Amino acid sequence: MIFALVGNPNCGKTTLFNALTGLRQKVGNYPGVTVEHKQGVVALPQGETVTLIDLPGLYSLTPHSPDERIARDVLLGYLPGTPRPNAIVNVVDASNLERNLYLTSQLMDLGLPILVVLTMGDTAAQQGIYVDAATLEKELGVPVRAVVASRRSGWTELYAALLELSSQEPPPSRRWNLPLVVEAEAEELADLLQRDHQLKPREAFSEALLLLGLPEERREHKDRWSPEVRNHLAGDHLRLLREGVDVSVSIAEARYADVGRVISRAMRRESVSPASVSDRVDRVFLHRFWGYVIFIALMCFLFQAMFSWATIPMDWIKSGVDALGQTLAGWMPDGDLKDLVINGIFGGVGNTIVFLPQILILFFFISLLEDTGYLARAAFLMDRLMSRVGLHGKSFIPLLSSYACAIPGIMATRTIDSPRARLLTILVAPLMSCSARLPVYAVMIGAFIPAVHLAGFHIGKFYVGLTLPALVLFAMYALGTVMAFLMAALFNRTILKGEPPSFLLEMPPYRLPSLRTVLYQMGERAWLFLKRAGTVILSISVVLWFLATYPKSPDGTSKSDQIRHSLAGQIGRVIEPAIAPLGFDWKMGIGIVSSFAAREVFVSAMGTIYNVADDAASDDSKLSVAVGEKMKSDINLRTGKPTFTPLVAIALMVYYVLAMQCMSTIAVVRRETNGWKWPLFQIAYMTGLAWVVTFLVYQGGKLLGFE
Amino acid sequence: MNDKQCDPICSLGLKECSLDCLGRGQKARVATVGGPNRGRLLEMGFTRGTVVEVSRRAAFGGPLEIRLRSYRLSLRVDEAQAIRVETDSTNPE
Repeated sequence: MIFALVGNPNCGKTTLFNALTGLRQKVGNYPGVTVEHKQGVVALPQGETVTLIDLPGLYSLTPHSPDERIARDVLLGYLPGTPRPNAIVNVVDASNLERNLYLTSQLMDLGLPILVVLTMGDTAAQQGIYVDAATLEKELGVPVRAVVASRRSGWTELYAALLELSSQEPPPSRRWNLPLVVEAEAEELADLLQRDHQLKPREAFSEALLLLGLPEERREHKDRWSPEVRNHLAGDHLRLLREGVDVSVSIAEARYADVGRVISRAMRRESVSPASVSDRVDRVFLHRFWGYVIFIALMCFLFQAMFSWATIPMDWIKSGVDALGQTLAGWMPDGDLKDLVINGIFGGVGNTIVFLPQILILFFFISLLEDTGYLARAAFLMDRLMSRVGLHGKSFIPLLSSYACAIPGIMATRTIDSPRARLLTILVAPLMSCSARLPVYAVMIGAFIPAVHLAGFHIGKFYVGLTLPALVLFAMYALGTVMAFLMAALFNRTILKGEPPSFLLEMPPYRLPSLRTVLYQMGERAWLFLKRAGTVILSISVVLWFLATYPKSPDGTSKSDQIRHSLAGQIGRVIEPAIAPLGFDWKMGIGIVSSFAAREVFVSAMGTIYNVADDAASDDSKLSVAVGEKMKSDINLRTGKPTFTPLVAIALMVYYVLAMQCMSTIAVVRRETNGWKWPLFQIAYMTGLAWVVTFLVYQGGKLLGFE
Repeated sequence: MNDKQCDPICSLGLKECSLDCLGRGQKARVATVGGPNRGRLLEMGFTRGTVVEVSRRAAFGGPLEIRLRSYRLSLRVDEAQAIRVETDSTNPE
């Protein structure tokens, strides 16, 4: 048995899905956070199981966005590889009953058995809205069960209803009426659909209504229907238009009229409802001045926190990895294997997992903002800015998520209705500094940017205020962000010209975040990061160790000569002419080449290279010396000057801000844009941009006397 | 304050104008809906006679927040301009 879980965005559908299946996933407050359709198994009391498909949130079955198209295709059995569900579980938000029942009205047309699950009864009661489930059941003609997902109330009844759902009768046929002309046209079209496409009568009528209600240019799946159906449809529109009947208006009005009839009986509203908490909070948070002040303050707080709070657990991890490496080194006999384990594996992976606390803090904030409903407010505040460059207020969430990782960010663009704004968002999302760049920034800033206090004060040992490293970090994030906007504006005016996209955004009520959801999401991100550190980074560390160690030079060669003659050194020197104008030497070339797989590999690559190259490599304490210290003490043999200067460090960071160096992102863009065209374009424009800007920064810096 | 020049008929005190001409907190009833998102707006509840209220405007000519059918939706100014509303001398509701 397969049931589809369907509901408006933000109706508590994902929470219900989690509670029913026990599978944990993201629960957000932004309309449309569930972009992938997920499935889980529900264990019913009598030992039966049901597969539940969690469809993306949708306002209607008329496909206006890719999300809605997927949901509709699953429900109609159009999606290849996904069997048509046997029944529908429709989640309905009691505090927003009228609009939620519009979708229910469309779902009932499909002829599948339906169970309505009424959620958010508590939120509704706070607003003075009371919904009677029994009356609603009677008026709709389908079973209705009220639950509170977080408190598990109404659960026994819900399970019993789910158990009966598979054998339940389809909902009663339509109780609402269309204007006679529309009704006649719809029936004619439905007959044609039955004849040409073997649809069942109810499916055919539902499809006829959807087709009639869509404007000509928005009609999808044109090639799915027979020429006669298409001709008839075109004729219908003309005929009805001549008679002064607008089909989409007639259908929407008829449905809402019926919904009005249902809620007039099933819903009671207390005459005076005081201004809700959300309204009062929004008076400040969406204020034309203070709203922006709060927004900017929140963002600044986020970045400062990531850099100052995170250092404490980072030190713990560092010393833990050091201690483990030293213990192991004591047990192992000298030789290539010991060298591989200590330098290749501990040096590489150890230097990367140190950045786990920063990733945890970032995701803590992102999921907190998402869960409370603030992200929708941010989209409201940011839309003006976004729309200037052809983006959408909804682009803000994918772009903000891209600060953590472009992959979830790009996947979240599915909520953007306009395909053009969506593609634009995908193209610029990888310019936002993701958490994989943070290790690169952290190691370069830590080693080369002095901890100068710029503005602030001391409380005991702690300094509250802006420091130079924090400012440089902020500048790197700002550079990526500004470039994302400039490139969006450029693409908007050149390769992606067209109508400005639409902006329709629901403002959900503020909700208290669930600590469990937030912690779960942090854990999930941490696990993904560790898995990457454990697999991709580990294998690249090992490969790099191999490249840096072989071919072996004769005994007695110094370690730095050894790496110069190794395979790694040879590759680095091959690309050196291309990167020398940017101030990079062949060692950085090795880092750049190897971090094409994942940016954070740069740190472990440098760790491996410098540990191997270190003449004091036999010293057990070498692991405790941070990569940054090794870089600092590296002297260019030709010039006798340090290889790394603050200017080179900044140039390198700028390169990492702008270059497309992430295989996983490329794979996701290929999947989301359905081809190689856009990911290849992205690699080309980002690498070109990175080279040009880094060149300008480095050469400009040199001219200004920073060396 | 409106950032755009409003329909002159509003200022004449006539009954119909576009949604973006409404002042903050002002209520009206939907007359007609147009623009590229017409179908979506209808489905979101902007049907004829529905009471709508402009509850907020973002700064710098940003989106408007509309209250209708007991929920909140934000729209861009040009989208709101495509919605015609009827204002009554007697406030609806």
